[in-house]
Amino acid sequence: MIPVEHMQELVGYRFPPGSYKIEYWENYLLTEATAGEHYSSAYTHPSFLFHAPLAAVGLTYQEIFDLCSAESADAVRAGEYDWEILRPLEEGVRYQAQGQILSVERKVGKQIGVFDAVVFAIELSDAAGIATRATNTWLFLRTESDSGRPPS
Amino acid sequence: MKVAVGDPIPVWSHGPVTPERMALMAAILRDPNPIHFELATSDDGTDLRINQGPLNVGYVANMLASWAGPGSIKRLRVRFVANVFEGDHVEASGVVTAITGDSDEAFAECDVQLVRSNGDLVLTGTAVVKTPWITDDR
Repeated sequence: MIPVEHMQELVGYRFPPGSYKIEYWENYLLTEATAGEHYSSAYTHPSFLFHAPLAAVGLTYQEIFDLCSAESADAVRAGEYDWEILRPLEEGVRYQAQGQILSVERKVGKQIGVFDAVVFAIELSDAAGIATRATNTWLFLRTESDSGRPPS
Repeated sequence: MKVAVGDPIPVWSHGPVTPERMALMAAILRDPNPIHFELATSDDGTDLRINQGPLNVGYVANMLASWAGPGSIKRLRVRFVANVFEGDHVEASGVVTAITGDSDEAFAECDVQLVRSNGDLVLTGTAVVKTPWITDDR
């Protein structure tokens, strides 16, 4: 199991600056996936607050898994999301991103055993200022050995 | 229309949750986690795919948008407590807990949740929604 001290070195890690533009097709398909109603291009689906910030800083999920020493792709769980929407994200607008890892805490859950709760926040801004701030907590499940998959 | 503390938010239901929508979401997100497109063991021992967290939150967002309109959500905070599996029916619901703002701009603070068809709580949280209606804090 990766030492917690190693994980805590991630606190303060700043994601690379970057930008992202939500395309029409992305908003259409993501809204379809949620079985939601299609609105105008001025209102992308709120679930983009999960995807767009990460895409903006240029990190794939696999790269975040690697950054947080995920033992496997299926040893990652959603913990908490806190999405602040000052202005809805719009289709076709390029948003600049900045963000960092805020905290890492090792915990033990009744069902999932030992895990690291990694909290990171990313803001998306345009010329008018900050539009959204997403603070997400991902859970990285840990096993006693370094090589094994987590207990099912 | 008026909105007041204690008002329920109209329930938003969806189901069954399908592997096709999960696969679509995985492709959009470029999410390599196989639990969303390969079979995993559910609570009752059957092998099923697990729905994405952003989809589960999306159902709550759909409920709020259906109620107060697109662009109304100002904040959404959720904590995940259980998984949604393919084949599940889900139900998003909520209740107004406070009204803030002034005569120009009013906001409803709400408790929200998502439950599976078997009654299991999937996620719980709070939301702040800009209300298009006259508020009434009776």
